[in-house]
Amino acid sequence: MDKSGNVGYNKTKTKTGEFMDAIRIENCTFTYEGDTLPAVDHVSLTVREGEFVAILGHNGSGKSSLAKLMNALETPDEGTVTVAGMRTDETDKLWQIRAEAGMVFQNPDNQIVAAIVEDDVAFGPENIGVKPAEIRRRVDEALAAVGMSAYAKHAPHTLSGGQKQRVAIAGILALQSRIIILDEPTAMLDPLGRREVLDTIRRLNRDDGITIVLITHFMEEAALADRVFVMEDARLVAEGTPREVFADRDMLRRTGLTPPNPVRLRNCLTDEGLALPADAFTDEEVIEEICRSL
Amino acid sequence: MSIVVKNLTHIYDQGGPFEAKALDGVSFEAHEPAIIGLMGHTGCGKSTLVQHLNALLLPTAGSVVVCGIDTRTDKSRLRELRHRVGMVFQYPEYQLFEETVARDIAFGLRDSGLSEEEKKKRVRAAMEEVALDYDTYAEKSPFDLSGGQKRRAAIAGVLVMEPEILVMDEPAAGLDPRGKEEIDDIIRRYHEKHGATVLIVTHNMDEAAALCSRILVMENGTIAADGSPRQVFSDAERVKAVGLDVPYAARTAAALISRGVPVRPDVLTVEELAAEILRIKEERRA
Amino acid sequence: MRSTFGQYIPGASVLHRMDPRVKIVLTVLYVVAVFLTGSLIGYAALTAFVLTAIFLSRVGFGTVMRALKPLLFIIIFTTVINLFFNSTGNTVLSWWIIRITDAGIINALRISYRLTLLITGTALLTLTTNTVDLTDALERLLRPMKLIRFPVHELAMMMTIALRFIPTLMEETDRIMKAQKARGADFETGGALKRAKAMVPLLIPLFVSAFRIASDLALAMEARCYHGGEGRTRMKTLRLGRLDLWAGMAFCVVAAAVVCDQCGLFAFADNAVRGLIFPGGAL
Repeated sequence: MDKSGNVGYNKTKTKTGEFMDAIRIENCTFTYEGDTLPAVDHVSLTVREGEFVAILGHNGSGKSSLAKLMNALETPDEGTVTVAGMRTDETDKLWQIRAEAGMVFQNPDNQIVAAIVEDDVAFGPENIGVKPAEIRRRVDEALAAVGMSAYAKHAPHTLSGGQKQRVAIAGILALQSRIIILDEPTAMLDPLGRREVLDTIRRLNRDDGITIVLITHFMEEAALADRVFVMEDARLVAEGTPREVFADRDMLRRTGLTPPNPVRLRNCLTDEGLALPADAFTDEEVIEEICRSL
Repeated sequence: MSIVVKNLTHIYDQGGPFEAKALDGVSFEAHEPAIIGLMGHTGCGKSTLVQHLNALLLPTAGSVVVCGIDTRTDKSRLRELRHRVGMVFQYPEYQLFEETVARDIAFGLRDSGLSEEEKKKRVRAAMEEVALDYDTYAEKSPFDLSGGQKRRAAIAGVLVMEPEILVMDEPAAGLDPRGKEEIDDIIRRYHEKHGATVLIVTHNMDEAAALCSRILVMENGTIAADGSPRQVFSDAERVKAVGLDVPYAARTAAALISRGVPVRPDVLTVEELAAEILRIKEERRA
Repeated sequence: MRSTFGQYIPGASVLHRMDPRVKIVLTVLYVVAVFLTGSLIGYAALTAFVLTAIFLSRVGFGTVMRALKPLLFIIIFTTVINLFFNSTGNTVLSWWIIRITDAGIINALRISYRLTLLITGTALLTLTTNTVDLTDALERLLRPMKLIRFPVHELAMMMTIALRFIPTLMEETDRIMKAQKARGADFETGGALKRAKAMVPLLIPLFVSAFRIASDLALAMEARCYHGGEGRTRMKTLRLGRLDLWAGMAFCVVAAAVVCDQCGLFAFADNAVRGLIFPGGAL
């Protein structure tokens, strides 16, 4: 897979360098006003440009707070967050950072501002003062990129959940963001909507090299990522490829996360004496290993 | 308790500009206590169907008789019906409104004629049912609870009426894995303890396979399949044709069979599948 | 049959395609003209104008007339008041305390016709302009008010968001209502006080929902670089077209007629017409 292949949509963007870090969080601690316990506690992590990472963890584990730190919606009390080379505590870079790292939220309804789809997609670029003709071009491209061109003139409340989330993604693409942070974007969707959203973000990652940070409860979604981070009680407790993370049974038990189904089957069999290689991970791999071991 | 739905048709906004047929000749019956899964993709008529069970919607044609009450003709008994058929809507935490958790849960009992003492007992029992400690949470504001706790408090507000039939529309939507397990536990516990019929609308095939003893699949306002999870999910083609996924275990069993591993095709859970694979391993060793 | 007042009927007619700003300005001027004119010639000119507009809008004469429905009571009420309680002019009919005069009849006719013109004209604006364009145009028209620190952008943004979330909140209301009904709530029976009390379980969750939406939306807007109206551009620019020019010209003719009429230039014609209706020379 060629992740640096920056084709099509964001061509005009000045690239900030091939192997640059998209997001760098260094020893960050963050406490909400009025809270005693920190929501994010000494967390360090790096997301590379063009990477697709997933952040797992239970509600209240600090995942969403971490997302807000990445988009400068919050700034850390301690430590630093750097987005595409810009530190989030430098207030003069605020709008640049938010344009660089767009955010999609959980509730598809509560993030669409305008009463017409294309007006909503235009909302971001309008805010940063892009020229009308240029906004028009970006909006049309962004809607095409998420497969929603046919709905440009529709009212948002007539769309399905999956379609609304795709409109939200288009709104970010229109800002020419190179990073998309998605905070449980599929939690309120049906399986069809979930697939739509996942297919869209995977395509954007693969074809346009857009960096994806996906916060999710669904292990099957995390399994698609290049790397997975696990949060528990405001701390980062595990990181690695999905293969590595889902092989760490002690950690999963401690954090109460259920691994994806193929891994569960593998674990079940291993426990009962039919040992399968600990890195068998995908549907096909596990089936292959079962056939081989019999 | 019994549910008898006969030839139920429902048309929204009949004769108006937004006329839409949501249900088209649906028939099904349920007499024995069971956990029934109602599945089908968005817009198939699930929500419309369940709202007929406690007369929030009335049939355009056909009939719905629940607990012996015909929703079209027994108008005077609709109040009674709504107590006997509990309905938990999607995201029920959004309907919380009282100052304390206990008072919110007791809302459904206010015209029940029960004594204050009796009501308190019921509230306590309902909170136990959803694993919310009475002494810790009863006097708290429902708005101070965590997301999962709010959901459970709202469910307790329906369980407190001790309905014989409990309908839940995607009760675990949006919760984290821990929260989802808790909801499944509540459903099982309530079903066993009260001998109630629980009808759950869900999109999660693996959950349905593990939890339900009967599955109803809907498509375009009609019932496309009705049977035990084993019967329904072993017909993978049919399930896929209505736009649903086959549970992981059944899907993998099918793949193994095609590779020459003779597991049973109708396994429902990962555990069952593992047992099947181990059985074959033993057979081959012998 | 539902009233069509305030509704939008999608279409691609000449009126639909006009610049919404021009439509608003013409509507305002039209309303002024309706109030200004008092003579038959003036009414005739305005009637011709509004009939032409209705014809061009292609929404149908019946549709426009249905807009009158909710205001029918007001029209009838003012007509009756003017008819019965006018003390000037020659008595046409007298019975008990009621005295109907010819001046009263003229006045009642004038007022009811004036209201009809007013409502059909303004209804035509909303029938052919969707709310989004309407807010948009209002924001642009009010822009000069920024000079006196009138929060034009904020107001427009509020209207946009309100329009966007009305359907969402209506769905929410429906859902909460059903949920509370399922718990035995009764919104339909009982006296006023009981019903008001029954609304509490509906209103509180609705307020909570509205606040949740507001806070979610504020965060989402901020994340998309929203920081008020400063330095903000718009994708859709409004440009005056030939259509708008024609509409403006047409209205100028009508306005000229009304003004000339008010100045008494058509007095002879007016008097001639009145003379035909009331040979007695009432006014």
